[in-house]
Amino acid sequence: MKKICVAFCLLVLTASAYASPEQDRLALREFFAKRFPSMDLSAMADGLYAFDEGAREQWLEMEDFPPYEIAIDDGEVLFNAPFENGKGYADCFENGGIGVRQNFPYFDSAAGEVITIEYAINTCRTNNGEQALAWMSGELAAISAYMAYTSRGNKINMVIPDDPRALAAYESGKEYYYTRRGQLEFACENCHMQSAGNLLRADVLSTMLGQATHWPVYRSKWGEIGTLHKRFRECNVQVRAKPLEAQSLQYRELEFFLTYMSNEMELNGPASRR
Amino acid sequence: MKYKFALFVVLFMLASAGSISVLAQSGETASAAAGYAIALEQSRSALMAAEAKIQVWSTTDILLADAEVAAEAGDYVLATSLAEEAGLQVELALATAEREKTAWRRGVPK
Repeated sequence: MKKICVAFCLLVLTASAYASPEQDRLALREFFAKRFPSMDLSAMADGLYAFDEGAREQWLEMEDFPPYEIAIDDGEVLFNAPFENGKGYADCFENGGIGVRQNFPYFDSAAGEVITIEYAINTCRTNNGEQALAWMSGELAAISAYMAYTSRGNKINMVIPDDPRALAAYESGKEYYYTRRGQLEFACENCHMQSAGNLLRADVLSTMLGQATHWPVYRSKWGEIGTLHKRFRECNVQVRAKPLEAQSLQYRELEFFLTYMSNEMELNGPASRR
Repeated sequence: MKYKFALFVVLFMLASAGSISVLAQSGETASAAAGYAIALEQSRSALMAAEAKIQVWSTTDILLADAEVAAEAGDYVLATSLAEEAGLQVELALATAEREKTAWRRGVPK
């Protein structure tokens, strides 16, 4: 009897120590609502432009002829080009691949892993006898940009299935986000929660909330459109941590967690950033 | 005749001294190379543990690559020093990994 009581107490303690994804998301929103009481949380989808008025003005001017526009056009052409077997991307996605970006990433219970939009695009290719594209920029990023463009305004609709493996993937992404690493011993959280809204050299650091709404992104620094995993790698390098491979399981799980934190926010990708 | 013998003795002594010096040098090189091999092996082994914990500094691979270049050039002193520095970085990264096992939760909003 004593053993049963101890086991029950441990179970209760464990359950109370680890919050559910939804509790995490609500706690994060509360954190930023307290941190920036005068700001509408949905504005955080604009990253640093939600904070820096001057930069925002320039950015809005740029939006008249956005640098990612070419990628959208290229992406549309590539998306509609049939594979050698006569099939195409539209055959691999729900609703012909139009307006579905908000459903990614998701946990595929059959495969037992997180599937991102870029991963799904390349899987579609290889399943149809085509070669996989490079993960971080170029044609894959362009197709992703087009698919994001057709989904603008849709709210992120991530669902974590009732599957312990899905929850484990979420927890793995969460742990990665909050873990300090690299020679500088920085966690993602140090910049994008603790120091969000503050200047890091000439740039204002964006908030974790809204970080997953606008990918892929044309960064002036890159001179091209790139994927979220390209940015993950860059963040790692900036803290002098060895970056992982784009679309590695760990990065996909990080994206899974990060996107869930922005659940119910509107998609506004592709976007441009400095 | 005496002069020739003296010259022979002098030349023999010089040659012996040279050989001893070359032998000593090659012994030192072998010892330095062995020291480097040990340092490299230790760093690489620790690096594998850090890789498994996803806690590797971006600077460590560079140090190890530089160490290999120095070793190929025969500079085992520099090569050992670089391999040891890489090992120290891995040690620090592993210390972070150990601490962060539980500490990462401190930043999660409650």
